[in-house]
Amino acid sequence: MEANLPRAAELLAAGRLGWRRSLRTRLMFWSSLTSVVLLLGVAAVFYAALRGVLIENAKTEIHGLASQTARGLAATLESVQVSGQALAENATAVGLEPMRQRALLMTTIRSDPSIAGAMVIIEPGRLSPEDPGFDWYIRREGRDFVESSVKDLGYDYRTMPWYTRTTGVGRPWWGEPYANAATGGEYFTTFNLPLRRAGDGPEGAVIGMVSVDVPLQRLRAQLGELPDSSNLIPVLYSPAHLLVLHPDPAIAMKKDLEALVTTGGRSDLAPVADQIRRRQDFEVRHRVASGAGAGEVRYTFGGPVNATGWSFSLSVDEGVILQQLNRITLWGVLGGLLGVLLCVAAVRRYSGMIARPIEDITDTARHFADGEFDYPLAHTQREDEVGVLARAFDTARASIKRQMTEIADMGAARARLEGELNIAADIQQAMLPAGSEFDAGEAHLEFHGLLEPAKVVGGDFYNLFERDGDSLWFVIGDVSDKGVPAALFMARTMTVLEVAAQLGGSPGKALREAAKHLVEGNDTCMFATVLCGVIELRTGALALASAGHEPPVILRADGRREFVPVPTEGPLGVDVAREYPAWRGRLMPGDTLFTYTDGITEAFDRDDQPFGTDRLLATLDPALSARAQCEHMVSAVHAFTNGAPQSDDITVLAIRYRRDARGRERFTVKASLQPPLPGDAVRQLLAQVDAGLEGHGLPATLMHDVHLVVEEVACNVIDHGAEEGREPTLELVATVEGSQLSMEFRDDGRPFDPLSQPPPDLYADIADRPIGGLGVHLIRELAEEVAYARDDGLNILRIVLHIPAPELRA
Amino acid sequence: MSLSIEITPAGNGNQRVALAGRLDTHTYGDLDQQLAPVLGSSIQSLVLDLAGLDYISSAGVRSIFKARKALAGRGGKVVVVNPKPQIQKVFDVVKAVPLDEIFSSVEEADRYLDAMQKKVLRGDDDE
Repeated sequence: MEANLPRAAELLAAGRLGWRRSLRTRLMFWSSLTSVVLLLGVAAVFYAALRGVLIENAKTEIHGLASQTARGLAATLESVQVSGQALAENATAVGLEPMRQRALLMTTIRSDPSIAGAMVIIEPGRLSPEDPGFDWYIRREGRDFVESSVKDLGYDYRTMPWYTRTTGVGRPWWGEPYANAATGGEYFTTFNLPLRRAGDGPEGAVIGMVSVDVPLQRLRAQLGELPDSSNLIPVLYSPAHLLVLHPDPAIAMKKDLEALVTTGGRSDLAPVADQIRRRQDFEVRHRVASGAGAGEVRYTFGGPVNATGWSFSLSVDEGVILQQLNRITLWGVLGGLLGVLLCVAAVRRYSGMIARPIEDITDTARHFADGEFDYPLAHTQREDEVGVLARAFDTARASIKRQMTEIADMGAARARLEGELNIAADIQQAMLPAGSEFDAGEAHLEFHGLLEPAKVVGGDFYNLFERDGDSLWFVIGDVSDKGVPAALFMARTMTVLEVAAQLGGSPGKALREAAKHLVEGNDTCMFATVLCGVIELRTGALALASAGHEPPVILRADGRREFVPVPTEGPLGVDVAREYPAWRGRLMPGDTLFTYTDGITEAFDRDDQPFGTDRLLATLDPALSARAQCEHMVSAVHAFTNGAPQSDDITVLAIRYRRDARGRERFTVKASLQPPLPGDAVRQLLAQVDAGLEGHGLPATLMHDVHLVVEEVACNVIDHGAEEGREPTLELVATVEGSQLSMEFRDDGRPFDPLSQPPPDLYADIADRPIGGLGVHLIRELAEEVAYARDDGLNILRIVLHIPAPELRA
Repeated sequence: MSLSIEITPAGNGNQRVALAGRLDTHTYGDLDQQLAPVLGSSIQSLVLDLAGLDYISSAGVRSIFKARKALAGRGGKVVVVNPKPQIQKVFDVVKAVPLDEIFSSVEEADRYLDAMQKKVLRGDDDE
């Protein structure tokens, strides 16, 4: 209980609890309840025990009183009976001598104060045939006596029921009480005895009778010896069970027991009536059925008054017996409750005393909760539990303050780091070129890239740079891992690639150069997949080399789309491949080259499904500009992942090739070779072509390509003709229209489709590599279109070259 | 316009040949002819200085292939110096010469070849 006190006080002091919830209230409630229950329990036990004892004592006492009173009554009645018997015996002995008879009567009356009157009747002719009989009656009246003959009382005794009964039955008996003029209105009861001649036994003939009168007052006087208590109800029953004496005047002399039980509503007295009939002592506990005191529980003790025929009972109300006990118990309980109240008050006061230091600490705790960690803390010097609590609190406070300082320092450091990281991110983003457009005459290259790092900084990158004014180099790469290490490696990779690209040559060469540098000192074994490419601005010719990077997509103007099968080697940083072979192709006007990192294809949605290559292809839209293409793709990926965390950097790079339609006057140049062919047939053919194209402002690079194409086609035709042993005829029609130069070669050699030749293995070792087959490959590479047909005995080869815009800078 | 071939004396196992003009179906024969004795000699490497070469066709590329094959047979190399853009373009398309064997100056090529030679002499040519 005491352990709970400080807590109750603390909660109370917290002030935010309703009094109902306060532990202090609950403490008081439970302690009070416990005290009250204890008190009531003890009181109940004592009450029950005392009640038993009290009732037992009372029963004993009442029983004693009842017995004593019964004995008193018996003494009175029996003395009267003795007097009556003495009178009867003497009366027969005295005979018919009136004076002696009278003296006998007087003596009887005088000798027993209980006897108020006496009578003797001797029937005439009983003692001797001639005797006149004798009857006399003497009654005490105050100090004097009234006497008369029975006959003078105004009736014939022989017809009286009491006389006939006495003489008829021949045994003494007590008559029912009565009152009349002769008794002066007072109730008397009379003991009647038959008279027999002296010497006759009990069966002798009855010759008359004697009677002695006893005023009921005498019997009532016996009851007067009972304690004067209205609780006691003494009842004297006549031999006929009339309630002769009873404190209730409505009952006394008016009711008999049987009537009371059957019609008087006192069924509870049935056992009493039964016992009295049986003339046995009894002890009955009964509840008053009706009338005065209905509902009271009474104990009634009683029994016959010896053999007199009278009965006596004494009743006592249990409530009265317990009245005092109840009163004492009530006072005891009230006193106990007062004690409980005092106890509660003491608990309240004591808890308050104990709570005060706790309240102080709680108050400090409230300030702590509000962040005031320097609020004074009292009671740290105490040596009790409060002191321990306060010191523990103080220690915790110091610890919290220290940790808060540390957290603040860490926060500052973290903020600084974040700031630096943000700057790094800015720098990284600044390393990436913005979208731009490159122009070379009528050719335009739209370029746009987007990079969204998964963390603040990332390992993806892209870059591009123009070289020699007629080609655009670009790289896109993805460094293994993410975050700061990847970002640093990315910066290095970008720089190395830029330097390598500036060396010139091909994308493959650039990758190999970069690979050599990146392997050096790469102890952390970081690596980067890189796609490197170069686009010739004027022609759209495209060369791509890959170091483990995802294949790019060429999206044609008409909507066709396909992954570019770029041969690929291992990523940069791990090993240096012998060669990074190039894929060569051509972007036609309206085509888009779309490159990306695996952040696109491996963007996962909430169900861990990757975006994948099919969605990538489907998302591309040929109508979009490079910038819109990038944004469309990234937003498609975001829509797909639908808020799932970004697992990797996302980078896209779109390059769209456009060419202005150019109005150039259409003109045609014809050239031909006829057998017999001169030794310098190709030179002559070229001279014809040059002469026809001259003066039209065609760029030198185109003329170089035209020379190559014409030479390769002419050599082929001549070589094949030579195999057949005859010289072919070759006609060339070159047509310039817009930005295209188309050349149609017709020869009459045997059917031969140069395009059916398998492409040469450009990567075979030089020792194994065939020397021929390069011409057709060259043509394919240089031309925008190559087509072969056999018609009317002629081989027809049509080759279309793009006419680049004039070199403005040249 | 035709092909001019200037063969400077060999030194240190390297033979330098400067080409100018057009190397095409009409001129490659001249080159083959003039290179034959050179390739037949004991030179280790051939340095083709293409600074003056304006035009090359597949026939010319074949001549270079032939030279490469001849030298490759004995571990030698043909390196190219200073090709003009159009020549470089043709080389790129047909992979006439490995990219790392094209240099922008004779000195660069010489250094490369010296280094190669040392490697060969050490016997740890791992490339």
